[in-house]
Amino acid sequence: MLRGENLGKRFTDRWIFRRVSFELAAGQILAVIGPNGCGKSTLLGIVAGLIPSTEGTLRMDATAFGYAALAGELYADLTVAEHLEFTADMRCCEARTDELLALVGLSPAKSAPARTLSSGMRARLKLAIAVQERPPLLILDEPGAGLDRQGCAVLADVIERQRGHGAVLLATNDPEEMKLATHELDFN
Amino acid sequence: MTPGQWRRQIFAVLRKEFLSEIRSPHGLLTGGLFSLLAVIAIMFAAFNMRLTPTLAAGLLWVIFLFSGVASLPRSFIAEEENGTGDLLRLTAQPHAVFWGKALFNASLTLITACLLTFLFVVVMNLSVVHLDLMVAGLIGGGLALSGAVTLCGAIAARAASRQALAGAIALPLVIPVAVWGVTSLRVAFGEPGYDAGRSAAIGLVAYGIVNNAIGPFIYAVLWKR
Repeated sequence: MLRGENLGKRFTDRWIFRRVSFELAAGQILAVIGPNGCGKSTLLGIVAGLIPSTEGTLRMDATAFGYAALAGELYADLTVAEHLEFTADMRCCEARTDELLALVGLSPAKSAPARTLSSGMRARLKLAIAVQERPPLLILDEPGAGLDRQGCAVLADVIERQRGHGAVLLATNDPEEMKLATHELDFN
Repeated sequence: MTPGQWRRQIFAVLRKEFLSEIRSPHGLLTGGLFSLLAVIAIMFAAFNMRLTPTLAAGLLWVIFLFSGVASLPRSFIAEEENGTGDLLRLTAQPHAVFWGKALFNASLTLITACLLTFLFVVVMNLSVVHLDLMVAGLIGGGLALSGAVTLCGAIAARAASRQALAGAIALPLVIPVAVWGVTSLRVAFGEPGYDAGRSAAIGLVAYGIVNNAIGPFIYAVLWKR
């Protein structure tokens, strides 16, 4: 489904990482772990096509992917439901607003503008946006940051469901999230 | 993508821009307040004076240009400043994003231009001799100005000094808009030379079409860099 070979990223004259290779098949959850600043988020950004790699090759067989990152922002003036309608229009897929909000436990905040959401609620909304298209590959960059216990349970449920029909690439330092992984890519 | 999917994406971007603008009217406030203040200042400066068609057309276009350059690039620049650019890049096609934002900017420019022109004509007691030229000049000018400035916003959006860069890039692109805009409007206000005015209005429409047609392709190149 996803294969990276000898990937490397350099910002100006500093290499963030080099010679990183991995493979991800359907049914697997690959956790990318390592200390802050080692390039976990950068690697996920490269896989998502948001950041160009400096060296190496990446092959993705998945037809679509969902991406949720701690650093990603939402439209402050749009409501939770409007976000899902907007991303559905952009992807030309079904919005599944009520279903997704129920899945991530955000139904009561359906009409709330994103500016009024807590960091945990924003993380849930990003998760809902990421799985909206039922992508075969789910890329999650520190998805549990800001989530309460209930939110972490929602996240674990989403990851487990995803494993049933695809794969997950997960950057994390959370021991609980690491337990969900079937494979590890250690940047240490 | 099918034409229906293109339409869905473009109108989704347009709807998002309108919703955001209605709820936090940055563009309307920036452009509208600047325009209003400029008209009031000119009204006091020209107290008891009757403006010539050329001067009136020039002053009106100075207001259009400054308010446009100050407010229009924001639609792209705000995406990067607010960190929402990645959400767009992950879900949308660059052409659809450009056209959605260009449509929004064109609507904003046309609304501002029509209100401002009406106010200016009434306050300065100007007579409109060729209404057809005025309408064509405003529509063409609005399209050309919004197309040029939207393109500059798209080019500058991911640079460090975005707003300043957008203004600097816009300068050469808006010079033809200023020249043709003033020409069409001064004839509309009664200056002789109907043919020159008509040619200028046609030039504005053509320039607007060209800017809006090539913009998405330039934006697509810069999209994921």
